[in-house]
Amino acid sequence: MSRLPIYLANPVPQRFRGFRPRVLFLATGLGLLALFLVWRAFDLQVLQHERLSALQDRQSQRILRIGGKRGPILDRTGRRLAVSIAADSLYAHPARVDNPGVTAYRLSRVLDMPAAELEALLRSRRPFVWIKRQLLPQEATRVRALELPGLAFTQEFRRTYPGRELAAALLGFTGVDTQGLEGLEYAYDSYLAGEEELRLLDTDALGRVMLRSRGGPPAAGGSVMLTIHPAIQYFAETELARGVAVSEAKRGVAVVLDARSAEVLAMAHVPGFNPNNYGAYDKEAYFDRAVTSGYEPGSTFKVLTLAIALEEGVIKPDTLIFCENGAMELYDSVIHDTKPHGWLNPAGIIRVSSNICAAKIGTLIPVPVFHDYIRRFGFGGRLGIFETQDGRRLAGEAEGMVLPAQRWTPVDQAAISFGHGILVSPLQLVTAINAVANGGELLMPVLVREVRAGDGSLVERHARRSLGRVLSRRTAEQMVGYMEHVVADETGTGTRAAVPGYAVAGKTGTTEKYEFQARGYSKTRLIASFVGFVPARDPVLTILVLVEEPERGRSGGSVAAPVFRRIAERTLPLLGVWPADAVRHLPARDAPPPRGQP
Amino acid sequence: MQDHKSRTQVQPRSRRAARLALMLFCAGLITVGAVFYLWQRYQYIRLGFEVAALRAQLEQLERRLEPLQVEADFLSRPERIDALARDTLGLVPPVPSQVIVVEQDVPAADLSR
Repeated sequence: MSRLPIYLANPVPQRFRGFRPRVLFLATGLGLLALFLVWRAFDLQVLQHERLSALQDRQSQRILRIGGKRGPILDRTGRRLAVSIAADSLYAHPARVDNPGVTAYRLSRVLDMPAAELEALLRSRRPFVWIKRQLLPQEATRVRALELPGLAFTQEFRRTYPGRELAAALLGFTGVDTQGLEGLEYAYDSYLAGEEELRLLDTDALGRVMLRSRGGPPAAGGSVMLTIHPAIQYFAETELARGVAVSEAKRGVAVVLDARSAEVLAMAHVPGFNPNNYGAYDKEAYFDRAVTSGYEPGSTFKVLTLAIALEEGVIKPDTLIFCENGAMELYDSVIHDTKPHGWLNPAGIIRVSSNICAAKIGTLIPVPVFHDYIRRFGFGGRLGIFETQDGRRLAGEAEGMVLPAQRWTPVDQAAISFGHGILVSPLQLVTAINAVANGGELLMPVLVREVRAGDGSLVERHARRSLGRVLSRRTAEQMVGYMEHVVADETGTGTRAAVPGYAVAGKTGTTEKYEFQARGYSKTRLIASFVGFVPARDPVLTILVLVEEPERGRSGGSVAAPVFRRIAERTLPLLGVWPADAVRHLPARDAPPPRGQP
Repeated sequence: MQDHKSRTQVQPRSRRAARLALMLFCAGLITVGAVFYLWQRYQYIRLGFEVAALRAQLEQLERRLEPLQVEADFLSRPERIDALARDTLGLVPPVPSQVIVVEQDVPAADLSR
């Protein structure tokens, strides 16, 4: 007898009949449930992974964009005028701050911030709040010493200007996110700015906050080297400030060019400001007026009018012009001179600065020719000082204002001849006069010597660049002689610009400011200026000094010329340019041995 | 027959010895290799830590250097040097009449200096 299967040998008891289908039903149910769970897990973990991850990140993470390390701005000697240094920024996890009131009070004493403002931040319901960014090192040390719970630091970069007020209007400044806001910081922002760093702010289930860097360290920004000489910039600023203070003027601008290369050695503005703390100053001080403002040049423009007339053969060096003894009617206008003059040659007209004779000469030049020369000297258009080598414009620059030739009336032509009815920037004016100093060749002013990328590779370099010849050498030399008389002749208007030991060529300017509301020229608000170069016959420096609204002195000869003199006499020895009588020609055997040799 | 037997008895013994020697040699080689491998791993890790520590030290020193360089720039700014020269040392710039240049010709100095 074969053995029966066990289920037949042990038949299911009566009470368990019907159990099997229920087990099958339950197993099927559980199986389906398990299948559903597996499917749902697959759906959540695989199919919807990206969407849900992003959702989770949004709920628990925040990305902070931290400005990268900004490159330095250097002067021509390589000293840093603007530099970024690592600085601690303080943030809080408000949920973890023990006692917001007490914490705010203790922080306020260290950070010099109102306690109420801090308490409001610390009571915030946000997981993360900035308390103060880019702290000074001593502030960070003192906050650390407090050991306050719920506060933490992260590293950012703080822009610092070691020279303080030195060249401040030129450099500009950056915002708290280290983006350039003014001046060269703004113009060269795309080169200077470092790569932005992304920091991930993670919040866990307990509300704890972690700030960590995402990715590697970001690339640092490039560097910009200027043509500015720190000592000459300092001389220009101190002497201009002195001139503005003595004349009780509103403000002043001085531009110093290397006459041979047109490199800007100094660009001074008074009043200045400290870019480390720019918020404490009037916004008026921020502007680089040498490049972005337009003025009527006044009598300084007569140099160009006479140069054009000589170049075009309208007058000759021995031509005599009658200066109408101090007043001349022209249509419904009257042109005045400060003193009555009779017959004068071109040298005399420049020396005494006769408006009437300049107007007479200017009206002899055909309008299209006169207009064309003015444009060729660089007026009425951008010089391109803030342009890259491929012509990309980085920042605004005053074009000035020159009326189209077809709109010139005889009165306009006369007025432009002595520097009215035309707007020029100080940089345009000093560039044009530098062409006279350079024998008639107009040179492009250079402010940025070179730009380098963050890895040190050269991006672009600016060197001496000619914009073409605007005057013949002969005419330029004649004008130099006339301008020397302005300073050297005791009847000249610029005698106070004379630098002992050096021949100076220059021209004064005194302009009444145009008042738009009154629609006329002010009798009290003046612009006093002096522009010239030294040594006259082999120029090294071309300097423009412009003082706005002086209360004392008032004329260019008494206000601006002394500033020119003091800048020149401090700068020339620095550049190794000595008066001819200071040089002793010694035979070689009498010359002292070089230092360090017996 | 006996000779043959003795040869067959001797040969396996020497072969075993040779095999043993080979195994010992291989084991030694493996051991030496393993020790060398472990040693160089250890050195690699140790040097890695050293490099990381030196990098951290470099970063720390650079962070300390930057403010010092800025401070040096700040202290050597022309305004301060001028004030020190005048007020502390009592110096004044020479006027041209006080200067004698003992040279045959004095070209304008290189501005970049």
